[in-house]
Amino acid sequence: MPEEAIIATSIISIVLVIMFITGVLAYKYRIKTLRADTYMVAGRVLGTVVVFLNMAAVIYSGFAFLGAAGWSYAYGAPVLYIWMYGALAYTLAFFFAPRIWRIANGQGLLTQPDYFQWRYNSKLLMILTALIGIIFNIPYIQLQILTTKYVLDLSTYGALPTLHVAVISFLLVVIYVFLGGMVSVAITNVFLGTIMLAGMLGGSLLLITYYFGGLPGLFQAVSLTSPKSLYLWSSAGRTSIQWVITAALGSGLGFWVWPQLAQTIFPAKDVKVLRKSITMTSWYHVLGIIWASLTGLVALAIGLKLKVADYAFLTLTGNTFGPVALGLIGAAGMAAALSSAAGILLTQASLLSRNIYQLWLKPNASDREVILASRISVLIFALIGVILAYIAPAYLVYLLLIGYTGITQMFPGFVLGTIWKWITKEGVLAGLITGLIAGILTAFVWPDYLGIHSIIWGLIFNLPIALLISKLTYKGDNA
Amino acid sequence: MTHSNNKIELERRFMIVVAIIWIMLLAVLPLVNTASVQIFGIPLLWFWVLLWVIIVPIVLSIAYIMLEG
Repeated sequence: MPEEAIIATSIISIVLVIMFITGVLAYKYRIKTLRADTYMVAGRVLGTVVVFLNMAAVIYSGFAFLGAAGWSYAYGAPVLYIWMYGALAYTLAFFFAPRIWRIANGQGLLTQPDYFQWRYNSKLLMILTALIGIIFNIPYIQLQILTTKYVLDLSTYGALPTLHVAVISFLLVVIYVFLGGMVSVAITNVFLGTIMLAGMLGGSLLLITYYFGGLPGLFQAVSLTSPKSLYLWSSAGRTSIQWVITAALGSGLGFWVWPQLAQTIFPAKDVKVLRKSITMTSWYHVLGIIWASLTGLVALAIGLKLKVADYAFLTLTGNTFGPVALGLIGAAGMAAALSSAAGILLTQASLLSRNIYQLWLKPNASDREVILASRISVLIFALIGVILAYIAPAYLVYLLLIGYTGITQMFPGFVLGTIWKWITKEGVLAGLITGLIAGILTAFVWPDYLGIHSIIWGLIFNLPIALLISKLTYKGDNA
Repeated sequence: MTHSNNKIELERRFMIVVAIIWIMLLAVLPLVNTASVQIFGIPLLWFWVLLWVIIVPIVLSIAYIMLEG
């Protein structure tokens, strides 16, 4: 193995070891009695630092870290949709998340489908939302394994079988999620979330300053090498204005509907902690992903030729600053991927064990049985993710956007249902099914028809039907 | 007016500010979609989005302090 590869790989390995030890120690020393609520929502006792960094680490995945830079390298200005949707989502959460938290705390809810069961008194809706959460998250797990592989591809200079090593790294995560659930995930994410921010902000600032002295220099250089990357120029497709606006709007609305993000709301010990964490995560967005995405423009401006757009950040770092910097940024990229994988795995397992097993198939299941079911589910979903990573690798953002379209169709039931009491289960169910059909058709059959993102096509059909049928079926307070 | 009513009214006002941010980011975007106009050396489109995206955490920080601080 070349010396550069040994240096970069050693740094990444150290981070992996610390991550694993932290996860296992959190299980050993921070959990006194393991109950279902400890396993799934850490007993609702977490403070600001843990809630904030867990939120950030789960939200900003491998896509955020490498895909955003790849997106700006491949398309240019359309990357602004990523800047916008995060900002929109935090403003929404600031007002909406405390309502959800208060209900969850008062009613003992542990998952997002629990909310659907409580709010609409509908087992069918609970099962359906649990299945949607599970199914649409499957490609997301695979995405994190592939991001880990991409990081290793570059940092090991081809000296290792990267997919196998990526899977081994992922299995380390599986072990601590299996053992400690949310407690292990959240405490490990404090470490991983910190590394990610340092990597995104530090790496991108260094690159931009080194090559161009600042943002004006960067944009001046891009205007010479790739002027079309600086604005939205086409009449349809991903470089059109309507695509960027609808992608930002749709992703902003759907952001907190992802069950693993909803799951980051529940462990907060009170509303004050939750709001502070959301505010701090909005700063994280500005300081992290926005700067990371600009590294794609740096690659474009210096004329770097890449086989895979998502390699932009890491290739630039390695070429410019050498193996130590590559190891540090690579470790941050892996941290982003693995921290999100941990959150998703736990959430999928919680949906299956709590909503499908305990609340549907075996209503009298004890806490002990639910935890066992959760742990078995962690292993099942980990296995599915690994198999898919081997047989169906694909582009990062593409996978994300398909999932987004499906998940966002739960928006009326989850978000509007907390605001308007006249939203009914019949309305939510009809809207959900219609929105899913429209979303899938405009994702696969007529991709982003008229340049409008499939999330919005789904909502265009979903919302009117959900609202109309809710109005028709609402029987008032005494019903 | 009680403390609780004050908080609800304050929250409502912040929601209006947030609505303005959404309009500035989404509805105004077609009007600023140009690279020929620059502000501080940054193309107008990028400057506009960056500006509002930075305003979001500032507004949320103020809202947090006033509502929960």
